[in-house]
Amino acid sequence: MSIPPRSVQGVGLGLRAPLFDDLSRRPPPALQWLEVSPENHMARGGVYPAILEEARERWPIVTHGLTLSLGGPDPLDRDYLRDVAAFVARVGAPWHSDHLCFASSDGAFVHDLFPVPFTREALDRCVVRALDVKASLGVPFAVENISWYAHPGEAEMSESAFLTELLERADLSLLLDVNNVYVNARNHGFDAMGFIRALPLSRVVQIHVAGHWVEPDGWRIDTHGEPVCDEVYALLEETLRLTGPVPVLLERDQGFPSFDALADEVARLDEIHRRATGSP
Amino acid sequence: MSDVDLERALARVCFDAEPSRDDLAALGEGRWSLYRDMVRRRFASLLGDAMPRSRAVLGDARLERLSNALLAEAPPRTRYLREYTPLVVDFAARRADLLADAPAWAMDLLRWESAALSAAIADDPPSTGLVAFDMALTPALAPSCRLVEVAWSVHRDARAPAPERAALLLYRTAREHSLETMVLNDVAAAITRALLDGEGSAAERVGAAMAACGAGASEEFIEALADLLDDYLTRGVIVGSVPAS
Repeated sequence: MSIPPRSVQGVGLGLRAPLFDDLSRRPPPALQWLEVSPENHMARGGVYPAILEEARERWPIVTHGLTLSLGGPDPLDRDYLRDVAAFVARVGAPWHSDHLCFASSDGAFVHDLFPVPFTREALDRCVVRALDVKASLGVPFAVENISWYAHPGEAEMSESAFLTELLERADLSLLLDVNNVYVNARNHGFDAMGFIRALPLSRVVQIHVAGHWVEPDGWRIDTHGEPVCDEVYALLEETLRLTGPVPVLLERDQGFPSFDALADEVARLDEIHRRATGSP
Repeated sequence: MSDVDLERALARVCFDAEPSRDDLAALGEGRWSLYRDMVRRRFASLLGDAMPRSRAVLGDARLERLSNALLAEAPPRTRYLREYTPLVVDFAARRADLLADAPAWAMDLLRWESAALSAAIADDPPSTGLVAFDMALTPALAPSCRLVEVAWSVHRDARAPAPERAALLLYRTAREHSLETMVLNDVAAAITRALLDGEGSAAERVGAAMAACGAGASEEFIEALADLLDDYLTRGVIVGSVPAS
């Protein structure tokens, strides 16, 4: 059964197993929607279907895939695309997102987000595959920028140029992860806000924020396991002033703090969102 | 090297027992060891988190050795991370050398804990397409059912089990989604195995199991069989039959 998409606004949270109970009993007052990864729910029984059903009744849901492997060397998995499309329809997501990355090679999944070479050859391949995905989903498809720690081979263009051309040629939406922009900017030495300004911001349908880990040598690793740092909060606010009232998601996948601490982060994001966008 | 070949090279750098110099040279300068470490650490820590009793007995180093050996020989072809643990345990059953320095009950412990995990995350029974259980039809069991045969009582004491053969049927209850364990005798285990993995109708599977374990169709046996099937139906272990096509 499918339901019509609902409006997604304000601040959301990723639906993760350690949060189920608290979300159900005492959701943060500022929480307005949830993001769900189909991979965590598809082909899975037990408590998961009931939790998804409760979430669907209480909040608007957007879906966020983890293993599409948009830029990967393997053919797109038609069964997976069909299952995701059915899942998206079932929860009434207004769009579906996945990453500009590759996640599998020769049928084996790395269960991580690996960088696609910023080359003309890779761009052409990503455009063709993104058009295919878009046609399969039944809702708009948004691509997310990732954190990357090394570039495979020689780059022929910048990340922002690659991403922009992909979005324009395949007519895609953008899920802008400001933490990933910040991590990349610090690691590779560019201006985070300059990177964001270079993107087609009218295509942004959603923003991600998360915490990251700082190595002893200052290198930053995107972990979704630490609190959001002040610099990322500031980058978010500046970005929201440019994009307008785009929904913002707090990603937390490990190192879960107390639920009250998480609710405080949601409240702080909501405050920033309202201030930056002039929302009531 | 083409872009897709570069991507394949990066995946190999993460999976292979040792990254090849050719792959690293093709990728060029960069923190490739960081990707390798992230991938291998994620898979290894997943094992310990999913099987805390096995981690306590075997230690993180042995689990990491198992995980890394699997990545090198047969990296996971599932997009569901939750299915990684059963893959590693199946792999360990084929590679006894990797647990040569572990306690004698290590493999039983891994199989039992992995079965419990996979029972907990299994799909629900189909809501349509089945009919009431009928001995003349193909039986349908709950997808969560796992039959594990152990030589040590790891289900009672993971740290110091006794040498004791047992057949354990693990399944998830339909209403509470809680994990239940039944200890079966030899004949019940043979019948359950046949219902799970055999061929033909339920009657044919039970017949094959009886023949295999030399059980005769005495009145007492028929009564016990009826009780077992009735119990399985009540518990939701048997969820119906597949209608004849």
